[in-house]
Amino acid sequence: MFAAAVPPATGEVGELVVARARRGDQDAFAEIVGHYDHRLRSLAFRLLGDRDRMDDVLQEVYVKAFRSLPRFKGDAALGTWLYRIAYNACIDDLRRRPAMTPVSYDDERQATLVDQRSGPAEIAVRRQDLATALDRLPPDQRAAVLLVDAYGLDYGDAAEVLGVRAGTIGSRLSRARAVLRTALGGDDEG
Amino acid sequence: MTTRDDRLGQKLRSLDVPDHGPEFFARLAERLEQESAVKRRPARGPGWLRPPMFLGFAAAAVLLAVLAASTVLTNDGSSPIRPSPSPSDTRLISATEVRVRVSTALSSLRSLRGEVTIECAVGFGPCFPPEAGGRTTLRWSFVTTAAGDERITGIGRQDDVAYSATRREQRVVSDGRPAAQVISNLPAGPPDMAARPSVLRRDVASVVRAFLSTTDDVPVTEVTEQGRTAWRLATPVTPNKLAGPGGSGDQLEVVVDRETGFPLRITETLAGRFLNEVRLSDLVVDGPVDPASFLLDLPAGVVPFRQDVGFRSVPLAQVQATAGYRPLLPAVASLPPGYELAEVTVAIQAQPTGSEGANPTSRNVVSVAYRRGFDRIVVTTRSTGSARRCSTTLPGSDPSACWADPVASGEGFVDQPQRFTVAGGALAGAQAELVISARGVPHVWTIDERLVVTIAGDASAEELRRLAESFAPAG
Repeated sequence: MFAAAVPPATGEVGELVVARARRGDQDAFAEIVGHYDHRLRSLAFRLLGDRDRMDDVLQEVYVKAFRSLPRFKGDAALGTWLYRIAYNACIDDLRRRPAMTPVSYDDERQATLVDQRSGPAEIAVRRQDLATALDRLPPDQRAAVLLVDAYGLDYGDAAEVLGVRAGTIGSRLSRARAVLRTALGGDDEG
Repeated sequence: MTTRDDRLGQKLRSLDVPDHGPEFFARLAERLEQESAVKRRPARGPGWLRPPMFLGFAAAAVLLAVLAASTVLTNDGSSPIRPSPSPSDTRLISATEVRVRVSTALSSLRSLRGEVTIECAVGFGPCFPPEAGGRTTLRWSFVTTAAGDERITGIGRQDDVAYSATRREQRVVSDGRPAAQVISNLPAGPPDMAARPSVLRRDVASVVRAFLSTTDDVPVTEVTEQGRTAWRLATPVTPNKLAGPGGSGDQLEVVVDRETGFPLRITETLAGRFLNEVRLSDLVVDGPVDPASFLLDLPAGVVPFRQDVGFRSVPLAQVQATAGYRPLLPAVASLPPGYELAEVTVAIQAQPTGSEGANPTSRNVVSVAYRRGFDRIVVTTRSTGSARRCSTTLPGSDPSACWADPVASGEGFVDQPQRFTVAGGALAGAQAELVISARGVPHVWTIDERLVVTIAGDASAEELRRLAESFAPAG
């Protein structure tokens, strides 16, 4: 039913798939999971900083979404709705277990990566810098910059996910981008 | 206007994201199967009888409740209800007369036995998935009591649901997967997960309570149906927007049995086209009932899917020790006539409430039920925690960090609450919302710094508000 490794996807899943999933079709729901899983994993991991926690939270997110899908009113995009459930679940988890050390995954990866030759190592160091800077941001700023800059949500949808006004998204982005651009330094190569 | 840092976004997307652990999807598939098992019965079996309610009774209740709202809340004197065309054997009577008679019938009724038939022309709600050949007909025998016991047995197929009010346990045996479910420690009613709603009890009473909420005279046609004296009315409804084109009706015709107060028939149509119908027949009023009827034996060798909802019976005097706070209850004098305290349960933790289950996890929940024959009112309190009321001006306000209406309808309907400030009692000064809407039970909810409070059940808008303004510490 589920594909274990699904490449990142963009856009929304089809209405028919959503309609089938809403009626309890697990295969249709698996399509939805496959479509959004990479982005939700990314959001959850960047907020929680730990793969096991990410998995625990996303289990609950998907079960909750499956349970609630029949009541999904369709007044927001499905992706926005899923981001909102995921973000709320992550924040709830952070409230319960707040003291995780950030960047655990990329720290682990770094030990291997820096031993490689200059090109990949340099890139890895920069990714590490960015990841470190990102993980040191407050979760609300972290989520804002991921939702808008990485996943392409507009301010309105991001505001709906985070439960704030669109103007608040703008100010959070401004602060987050300033920190992250500093971490990227003179890296202009794209 | 949205501005995006595309370069930063590209670098953020390039950050490593770990895959799930090796068991993640297997575990998820297993959990979804369990969820489906819970849904499966309500989706098709008699326990489901809510979906036809969704299409029928609840919508009827809504419409009738809208009537109540139009008279009780706005006093604009208008009514969306109009009588059906009157056959020669009918006469018009007033809603006030109906209200008095139905109230008497429901409060004195002790048990009811009979047969329920659902007939659908579309594959939605009760009739999903549709059967081949178009129209679907499903039949069950049933017996139910004023205490809340219920047994519904499929006719012509293995499909059996029993709810024991004494045990607060529901058992389901079906030919689907899994073949059996046992759901235990259920509270008396919403907003927390209760026994599967049935047309035979609360949802039927939805129609009746709408009558009871009616203060102005409304023309209703007195008819004879199945040899029984009954009242009939027709009412326009708003099609449910999740049902899809043609899946939900714009008109209901409701026939209520004069002796029992139960609807004998609800027919839903769309532009005059038949969609579905719920019929009760062969009724036996206050006949002998075997208590063992509500203790369903599971088939030998079947391992049921079990779920403990977590509500334990607690004497009122011990609620504080269990829940961690002194319970707040409405004054007995404010209860509608005939209601009596029936059940007190406490859950240390319960499933989230509200539309899409988006409220924070419920903690320290006290659920208190009052009964009057087949009527019921459930009062709940739960810890507010660190969350506060969701903003009413911010759509998408972070739902897990705030409280929205725990009894919200959702599922294609958007409630239109009437907001008011509680004028008396322990909740005085709190902002409350009164909701009489298509999908759900009439209710009031409010929140203060300590507790989220709900009052839901078979009561008029006026009665609900009076209850909200009478709360005092108890126990």
